[in-house]
Amino acid sequence: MNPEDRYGWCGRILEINLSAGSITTITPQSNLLHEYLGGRGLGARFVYDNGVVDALSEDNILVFAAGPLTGTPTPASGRASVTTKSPATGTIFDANAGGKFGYVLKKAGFDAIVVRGIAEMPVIIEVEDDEVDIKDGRNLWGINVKEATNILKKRKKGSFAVIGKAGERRSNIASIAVDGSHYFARGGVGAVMGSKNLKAIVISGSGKVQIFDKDQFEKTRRTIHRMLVASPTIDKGLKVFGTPVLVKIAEWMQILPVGNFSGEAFDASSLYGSKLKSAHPSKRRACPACPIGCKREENGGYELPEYETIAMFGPNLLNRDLETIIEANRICNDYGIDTISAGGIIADLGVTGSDEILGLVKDLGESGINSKHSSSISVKGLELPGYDPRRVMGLGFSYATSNRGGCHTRAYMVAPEILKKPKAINPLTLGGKAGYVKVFQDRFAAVDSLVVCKFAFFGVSEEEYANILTAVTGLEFTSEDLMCVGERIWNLERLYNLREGFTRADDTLPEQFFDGLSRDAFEDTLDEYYAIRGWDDGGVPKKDKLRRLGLLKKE
Amino acid sequence: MEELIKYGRKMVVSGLVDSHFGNVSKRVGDRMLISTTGSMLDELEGEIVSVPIDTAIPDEMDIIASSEVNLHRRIYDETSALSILHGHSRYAVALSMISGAGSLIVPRDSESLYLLHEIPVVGGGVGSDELAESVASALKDNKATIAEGHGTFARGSTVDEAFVVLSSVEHACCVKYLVDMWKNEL
Repeated sequence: MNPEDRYGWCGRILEINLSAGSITTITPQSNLLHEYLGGRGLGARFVYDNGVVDALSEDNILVFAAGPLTGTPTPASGRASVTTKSPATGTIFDANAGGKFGYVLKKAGFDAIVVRGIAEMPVIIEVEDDEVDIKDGRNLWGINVKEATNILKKRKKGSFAVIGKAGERRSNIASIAVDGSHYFARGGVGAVMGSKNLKAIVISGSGKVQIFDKDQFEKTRRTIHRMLVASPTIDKGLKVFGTPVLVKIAEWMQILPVGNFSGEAFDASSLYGSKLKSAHPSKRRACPACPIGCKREENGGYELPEYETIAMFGPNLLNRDLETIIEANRICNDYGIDTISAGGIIADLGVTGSDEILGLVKDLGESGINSKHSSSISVKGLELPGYDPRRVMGLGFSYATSNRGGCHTRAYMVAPEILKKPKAINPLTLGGKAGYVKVFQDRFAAVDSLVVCKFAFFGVSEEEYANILTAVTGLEFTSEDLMCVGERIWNLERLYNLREGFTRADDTLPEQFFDGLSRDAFEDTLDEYYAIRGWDDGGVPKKDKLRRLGLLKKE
Repeated sequence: MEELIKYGRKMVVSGLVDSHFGNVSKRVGDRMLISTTGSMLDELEGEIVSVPIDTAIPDEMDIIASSEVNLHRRIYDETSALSILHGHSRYAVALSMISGAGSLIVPRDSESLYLLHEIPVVGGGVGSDELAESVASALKDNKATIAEGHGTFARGSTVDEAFVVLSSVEHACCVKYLVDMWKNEL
């Protein structure tokens, strides 16, 4: 460990090559940690440096990473990320999940685990502090998420990253489950894990993350906590209803994805968060160090659907039956498949009946590599989430420019355009959105690297998290520093995608949305966005921009 | 809903508020229509939501309603008001800070004195239960009150009536400020 990285970071990365059966610990350079923080940023650097690979080959890598705040009591810091090349999109791809994985990874003394190669037979990686082992996993192969996780929980304490049958069969909508209830959901990251014959990672640890200035940390922690619990979005929304609070608001704004994004009207009253709450009494579940607790779990340990799942299996399939959605969610989670993509694919098939929906969800779980449909409503091969871009135009623009495909969390324009935080902005125009989306993309690239939950930013800004990062690490970080880290990561991801052959033509939306959106206004906004980013007209970062971000030498 | 849109625009056009510094609501049975958080009062089309008056009934739309929705609830709960307009009107804010919480502003002009009698200034942090309680209490006996350093809350049986009250408070405060300045009584 480098002495200056002993606070916040562990200063150690575990590297496991499943082909060779080798296990090594590497000490990352200080500048790698300082310039990329952890999580998504660290993953992006590793995946970029791994070169051009086939997503399901032994050359691809999976980088599970926590951040410098993970493992401390920093509010909303209990998350982790996994970065790889996606078999669904062909882009660089990071997925982000709650649960205890990141927290326990840090307690075990590692900032990240890099998994390389392919095991000869199904295996499990077990980490208990410095004891790391690759074990026979054949007895778990063919078993879905809940059962496999329960079997592992009986053997070991700790946190569990597990794939279901979909991942084993390399379905490009396969997810990785964390502790049986949280998901690295999108982009087929579970298929990459399955392609490596890696059924699970089990991790436990007894260490403690060191904090440089405990007094300042506690003071800032209290400030963040107070601001979080005072936010109406959190206090009256996420705490009360979980993410399904959005169903009624999305219906009111007419932005639900109705009938495979056909733009129709839809009465979603049977699917409101309040309906789910009254019909299915549940326990609030929170990730480590989180005062929000947005997750809902029924008796029996089954998690209730999030907003995205309700939107994609509800209005998107013209389905008003909440019980069908709850069951579809349960099946998706158990097989380990992404509910957004599953809903998008089933909508593309024109399916709306309950029995048929549930049958197709099972089929998707059982199917292999070719589970995706090329005609589903997607950007860069990733199915769009539950917001119609015709009436939330900044969010739509963020889908188009996202470096992992059709995703709402890259810029998280849900906050200003739907929930009016930190400031209400008009969702019905592209005017001003080029700059807004750029700033929010950079912001959340940094947030994903800390790794902190985006929901925290309904109540606080990057300034508070820069302050607490300074207190934890002993290194001076300002909010501008965080934005610069975010911009560096965004540009590195862009360079990866350009190297894979993506061009300006991929920064767009499916043709059907240009019935409501002006193509000219969209292209003008894209020009403006590239200019703001310091990219040329084709969306290629200019040398001066790369030099200022410290990316030029490495390219 | 159209009334709220119309009078929200009039509040800005009349100079009673600067764009988004305020909120408007109208009681409809056991629910109210209220402007959304951060909305511009001269552009309220598509920015008015319906929420229950009873705080015991959680509603999803609460999270995008005005951040002062609970204060409006308190007023509807404790008074017979059917509309509330709130604006950070300049003279009202200034005079409330000069007079201080607990004081009564007595209009100098005859029309305002006739309509309003006196305007209580109340205290409490923005968004606090204390402010909600003091505003609701003051509006039991008065058509309007000013939250110190914050702005005017005007009640009415119609949106139109609340607008007249809001305008009168600002007129009264402006006249009183100018006269008091002239007489060196400030």
